[in-house]
Amino acid sequence: MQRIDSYPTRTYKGFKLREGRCLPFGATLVPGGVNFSVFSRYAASCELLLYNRGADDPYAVIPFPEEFRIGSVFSMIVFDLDLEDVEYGYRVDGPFDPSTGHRFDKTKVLLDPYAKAISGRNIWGAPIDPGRQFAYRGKIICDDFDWDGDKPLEIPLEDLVIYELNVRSYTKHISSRVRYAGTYAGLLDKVDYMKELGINCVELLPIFEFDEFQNSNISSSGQPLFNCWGYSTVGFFAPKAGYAATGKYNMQVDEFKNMVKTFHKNGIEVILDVVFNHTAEGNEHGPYISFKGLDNCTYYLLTPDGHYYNFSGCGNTFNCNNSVVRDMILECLRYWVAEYHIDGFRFDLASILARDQDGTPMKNPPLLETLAHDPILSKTKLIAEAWDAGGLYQVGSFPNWGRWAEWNGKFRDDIRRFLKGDCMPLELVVDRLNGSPDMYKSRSANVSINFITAHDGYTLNDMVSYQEKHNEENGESNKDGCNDNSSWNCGAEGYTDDPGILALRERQRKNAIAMLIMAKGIPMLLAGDEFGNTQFGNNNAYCQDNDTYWLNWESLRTNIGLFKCFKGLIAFRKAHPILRNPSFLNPKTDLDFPEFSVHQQTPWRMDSTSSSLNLALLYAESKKHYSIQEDCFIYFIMNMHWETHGFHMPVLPEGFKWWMRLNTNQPESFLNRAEMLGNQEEIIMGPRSIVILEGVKGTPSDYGYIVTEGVEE
Amino acid sequence: MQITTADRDNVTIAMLEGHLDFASSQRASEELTKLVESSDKLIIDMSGCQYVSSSGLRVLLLVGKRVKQLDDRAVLCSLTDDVKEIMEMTGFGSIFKCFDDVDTALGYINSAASA
Repeated sequence: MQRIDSYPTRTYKGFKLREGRCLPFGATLVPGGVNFSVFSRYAASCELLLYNRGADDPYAVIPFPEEFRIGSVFSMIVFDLDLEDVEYGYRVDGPFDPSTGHRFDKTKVLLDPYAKAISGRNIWGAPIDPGRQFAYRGKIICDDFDWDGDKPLEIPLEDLVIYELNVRSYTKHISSRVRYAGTYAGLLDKVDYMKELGINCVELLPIFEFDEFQNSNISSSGQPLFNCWGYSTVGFFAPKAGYAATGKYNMQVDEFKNMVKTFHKNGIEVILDVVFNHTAEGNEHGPYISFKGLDNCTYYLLTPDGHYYNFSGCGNTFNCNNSVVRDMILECLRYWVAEYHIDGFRFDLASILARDQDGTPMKNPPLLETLAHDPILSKTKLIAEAWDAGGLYQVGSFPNWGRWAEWNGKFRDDIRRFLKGDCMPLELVVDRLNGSPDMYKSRSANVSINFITAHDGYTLNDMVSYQEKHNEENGESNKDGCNDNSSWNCGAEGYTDDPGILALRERQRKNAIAMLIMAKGIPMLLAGDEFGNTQFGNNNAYCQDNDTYWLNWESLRTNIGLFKCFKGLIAFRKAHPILRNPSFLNPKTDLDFPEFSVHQQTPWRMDSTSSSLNLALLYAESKKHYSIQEDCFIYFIMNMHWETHGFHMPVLPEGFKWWMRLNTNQPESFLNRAEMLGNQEEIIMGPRSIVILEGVKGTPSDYGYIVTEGVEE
Repeated sequence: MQITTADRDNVTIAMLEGHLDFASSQRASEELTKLVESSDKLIIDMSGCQYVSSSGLRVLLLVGKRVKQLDDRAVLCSLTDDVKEIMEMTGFGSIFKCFDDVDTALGYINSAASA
């Protein structure tokens, strides 16, 4: 049956029009045409501009008639458009009075905040067309997709092993040997590799449309620098076209959805790193892209005299707890879950989302509460980077309603210090390895997203190879990037051929990953750490769209032992549910041991307030409780001291024997087939090394290795 | 977009020429669906089709689904490199069985029919 409102009611310069529908905002397909709807509280008038694809000038400028406005929403249906050719934008007139926050400029063409696809930066790094004054234009998409029964995977949080990667840098290097390097499609050629490694969740650095040209710096060697991290959103509803191999055909939406569908088919979730704390428009000196010209007062946090608050450190602060902005963020996240089947979000500088419209932190921020209780997002992972650049630090106290997990920055800091042998209270290390009950006791270890390295900072290799950051090529005189890295170069800065130092670095990398994977909470790895990827000491590689930031897959061949260690440990974690149990309860098991206990060189004796560098954790994994085949004890021994120490093992029940599973002091660290210890009472731990023992009655399970192409020795 | 047909070895060969895009998608969808339903065996020769847009992919998808309901008796052949890449990158490549040229497609479709 044909709708009675599917015909035009007037024409304007040959264009057939009809009053539109206020909701949804954005450009939406309706029978015979497109419904354009845009909000601006303070605008006096609004025009719709239509362009042929790539044209410099619009082929139509259609004012929204006053009778097409309801409240603060301009909406209009335009019939008979070529959906694949048309690009659109708005021009808005209103007061220009910066002291009261208004910055309307009717000469600026603005991007629709709800644009589902954006043209203008379709090919990464392609020179900007100087004739194109309005860089970013909305595109209309077919939002249908053949999902073939797919939906978000809903893997329990405790079972995740997260793998943080940048779409472009992961496969852009020639050594990646993928067909479509640096793109969404390119990632798919690495799915088998990721499965081989054992991760089951990729966390993608920002993929919302952003401007890679935003960084105007030149490197010290004279090279132009790009923004390749993407923490500067242009459009929240549109995937970055320049990351799509099909971007030149405007098919980034289909390519992205196919990527998600393929990941899901292979049991891998997709989490997006989202940036709602600021936009690419900067402060009063930044460009007009969208929000600034549509309704500056609504979208940004402004000082009483109309300047931009800068809690993000990037020039402006998105007004997240304004009800209109809040609705937009909610709708955006719902859209990515419902239309793209995204499994979770990691919120960049999420503490900004907890600030009110004056910038004051709130106890119960409405946006965070709304997201926590939303029906569409109810199974979606919500992860906060629980701090901001304005000094708000909420790790351990982020408003959560039982739903929000946190990037645990304290895990990174404390474990790094322990790893390099700093004098620190041992109880801090125990807490970090036990899911941080000092911070999350009233909840569970699932709140704690544990990591030692992430995109921001050193890679794992560089953390054990550099004492000082080396960001000279960023063009900021090495002043950018964090100065406090808790890193240690093991005796030489950067490159060395000293075999002793190289062996120590290798051990330290393995020690680090062992602590990360064995810790309660959710491990997050930085992609490339598993094969020792280096950024040559650059700890802020956001602008290094080159060999510094692109993963060099040749390292996989030279560091296969490290890869095997990562893989083995991940498999070990998967095989032992006790390591993933998020509960902080520590019952005495039917094995007559507590599930979790803390030891040092002498078992059952522990001074947690000491600053020792020797620690051992015992897990008693009962087959009855965990529905596994055999009872098992796991003894996780850490000697972070620079000298050798003997550790006595706890006495096992009758018939049980200790078997070696991991020894970072050996080149072949993770043993696919465990070896029974000759000495069942004491083990000599080499300097700065970690051992994992399994105590079982029979023989511990083998871990099968399936070596895929590219992972061969 | 032009669609012309020819018969060879009891197989209908439909040749697409031009761009399969929004402007041509509705007509192409109708004509291809008719051909799928009226032909015992069909080869869609894409050698003259230089571009397939998002709408065009959807035409192929819908026609492909109809083909699957009708015992897989239609295939694609002679995709240009650009079109092949587009289909691969967007995941639409698995809709149809694709062959390098008409002869290979004919060999397949006739052997499949006799199997």
